[in-house]
Amino acid sequence: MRGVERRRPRTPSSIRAKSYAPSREPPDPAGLHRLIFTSEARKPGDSDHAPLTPPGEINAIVEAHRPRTRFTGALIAAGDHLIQVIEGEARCLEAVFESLCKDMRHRNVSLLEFSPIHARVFDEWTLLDTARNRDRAARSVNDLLSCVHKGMDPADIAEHLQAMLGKAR
Amino acid sequence: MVVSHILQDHNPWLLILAIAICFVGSASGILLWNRALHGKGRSRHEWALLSALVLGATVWTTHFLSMLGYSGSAMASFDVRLTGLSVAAAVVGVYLAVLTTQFVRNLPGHLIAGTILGLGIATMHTVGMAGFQVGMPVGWKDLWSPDAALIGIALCIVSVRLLHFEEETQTVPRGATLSFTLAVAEVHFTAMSAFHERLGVIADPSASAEHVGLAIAVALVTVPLIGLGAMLHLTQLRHAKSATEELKRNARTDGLTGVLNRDGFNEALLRQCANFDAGGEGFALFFIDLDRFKPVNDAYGHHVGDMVLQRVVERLRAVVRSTDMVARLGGDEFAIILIDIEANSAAADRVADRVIDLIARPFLIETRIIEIGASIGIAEPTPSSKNDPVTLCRNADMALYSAKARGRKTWCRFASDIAKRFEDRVQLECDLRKAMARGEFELFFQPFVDSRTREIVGAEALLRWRHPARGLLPPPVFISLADEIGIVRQIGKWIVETACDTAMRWDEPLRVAVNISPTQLRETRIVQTVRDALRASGLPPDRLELEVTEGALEDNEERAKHMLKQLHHLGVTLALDDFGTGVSSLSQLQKLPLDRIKIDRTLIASLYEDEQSAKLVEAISQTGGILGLGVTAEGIEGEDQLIKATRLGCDILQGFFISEPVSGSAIEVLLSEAREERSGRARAQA
Repeated sequence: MRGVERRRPRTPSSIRAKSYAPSREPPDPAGLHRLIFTSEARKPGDSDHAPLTPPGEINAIVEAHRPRTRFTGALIAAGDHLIQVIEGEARCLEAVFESLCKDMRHRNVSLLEFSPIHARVFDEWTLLDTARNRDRAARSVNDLLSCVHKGMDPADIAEHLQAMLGKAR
Repeated sequence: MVVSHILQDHNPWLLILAIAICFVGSASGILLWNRALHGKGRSRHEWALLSALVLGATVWTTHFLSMLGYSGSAMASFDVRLTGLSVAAAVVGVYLAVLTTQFVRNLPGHLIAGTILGLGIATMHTVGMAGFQVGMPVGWKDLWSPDAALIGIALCIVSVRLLHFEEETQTVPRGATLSFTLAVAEVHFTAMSAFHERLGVIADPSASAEHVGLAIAVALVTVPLIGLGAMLHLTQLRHAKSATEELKRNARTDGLTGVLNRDGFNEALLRQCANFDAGGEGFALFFIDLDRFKPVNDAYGHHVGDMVLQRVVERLRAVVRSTDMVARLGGDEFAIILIDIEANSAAADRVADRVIDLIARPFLIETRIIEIGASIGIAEPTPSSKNDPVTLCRNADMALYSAKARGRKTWCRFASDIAKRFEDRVQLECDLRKAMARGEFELFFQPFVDSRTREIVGAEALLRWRHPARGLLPPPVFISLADEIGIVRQIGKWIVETACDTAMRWDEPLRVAVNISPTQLRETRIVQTVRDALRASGLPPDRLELEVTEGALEDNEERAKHMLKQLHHLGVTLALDDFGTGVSSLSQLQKLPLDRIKIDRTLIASLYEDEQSAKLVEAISQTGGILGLGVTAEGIEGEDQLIKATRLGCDILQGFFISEPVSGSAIEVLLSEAREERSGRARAQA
């Protein structure tokens, strides 16, 4: 008898292994974590009147949480695409991400990494909008994004970004 | 007589002031009296006291101001002691009356209270008059007026009775107020005219400045007191109203998330429907179901689940306008009412898309990553349809079901065909459950032949459902439904048993092939089922062939392989069905305990149009040969396909051209026909 075929939903393997795994250590909301995600931001001037552009808004949210934890990492905006790495206390990262998840101006929010780390890769928090210096910076961001979507290791992403920031400065 | 006395002997302004204060004060005091009657606990005593103060002050002020207006003579002076006593008489009289009504209810109480009240007023008047010296000695008997007292008592009784009947605390009990004012006025003027009659006192209605000043002073004390009483009453009123409203609000609110609960939602929906029917704007109703939410509670506990729900609500709020309504209907079901929106509008579609987008984004809670999804059913009122809440909810529910059936993480708007499909499905499910018991399932057999001898060597068992109304139904119509309601295993068991029994009845030792679904392969019981069927029918195991699709193996390779090995141990043969359309690799084929490959009908169908197909078929049959597997060509629908498939190396052929599926007994007929043909040929050759 045929006709009943179930297909398992495909979650990215980087996330799949981490969800609902009973063997994890007990959660520490104050522990140091790294959050990496990409999204596409709608340009200002769309139907929703946004006082700040999405990158600027994320910056504002991070600033608002600053007293509670030290944030390091980078937010890089190239045209519509954003890629962001933040390192800090888990609960503060969760709050920043949740704000993003409620924001209709971001599309295709893709969470690449959220896990505890022992050491930070970044020294400070930087916002880099390549809208100003297009060409090379924008290209390398796009290259990085395509690598990311093909499944680059999250730890490598952070290091790549750090390197890119070094060059941009 | 009294009336002319009133008009002639009193200063009109002071009179007006007195009556005005009497009226307002009575209203205020009576409202407070009402609260004394209906209050609970300690507040009753407080209201009684306050009422006595206000009413007593009112009564006395009325009397005093009238007195001032009556005798304008500058010679009049006041005995402080007696004046004070008259105030006391008024207050005490009222207080005792209020107490009486609190403790003795109904007519007896009212009679007593009215009497006390009337007496109190009369006493106050008399004592007050005594304290008001007009330059000549007057005896108590002269001052006391029994008529005044009696009529006063009567009016007071009326007032108290009316107070009892006009029980609302929101509006002023008009009848009671009026009759009380009348009582006070009556006592004063009746007594005064009697006094005037008896003693022939000359009244000088012109008021001196002193008296006016005194009147104003008294008024300035009394009026604020009355005002205070009224304000306290109003404050209590407001307080009670806001407390009631808060209670109502809480009853309509979901404790965990702060949005409307089911009751609040029902109320809101009813309002919207009524508004629409009255010609108002349209609205859209969303029913939202969270997908994969229950595993969250199971894995991480309810406190994490609760946090997810709270965040879900926050995200929902971020999508809708402030005028739209969000509700939690319970568990993981939510609803949204979008107001002021047209039916079938793109705006509603957009909101639905956004909801699905936002809910699909990960939730990071206590360092865990949680991903859920949402399915949405949309229903909207239209001028031509029934727009009551029950119907709309039912429609939204059916639309939601449709969305879930389409694979979830999507939305679906209700349309009339959805209702029809839903009804049909419910009916079909009902029939399906009874089908087994009623013996409505039948097995048909499609024979397959050896490609060289063209002799029937076996038949594939195919399930049919002879539905009482809809006729003979093939599996695609009902099999997913059967899986949903969980009767697939029963049906599968029946198929295996029936196939084995039928095969035993055939004169010749033909093979019988039975399909095994991925669901069945996942259960260990399948081995037992097959073993029991073989034993019960007595069918030699090598005559039973089990067909599995590549899809069944995709899911969990190791487990599938294990099951196949166990089945193989029973002695049955295994065939891989629909081969050529999936992604099996050659190495996989090697590892599995297979005996046969059945080439998918689409490849056979394009044998002549497509060179590629022919090459593929050839390759498959060669591979089969190398691995020692038999190769069946399925879907032979013409002579040319038959010839080509044979030439390319397939050893068994099956298809409509060979024969369509027939009943078990028809197989016997085919066999006997074939036998006759053979013996006929043999005779011809001999």
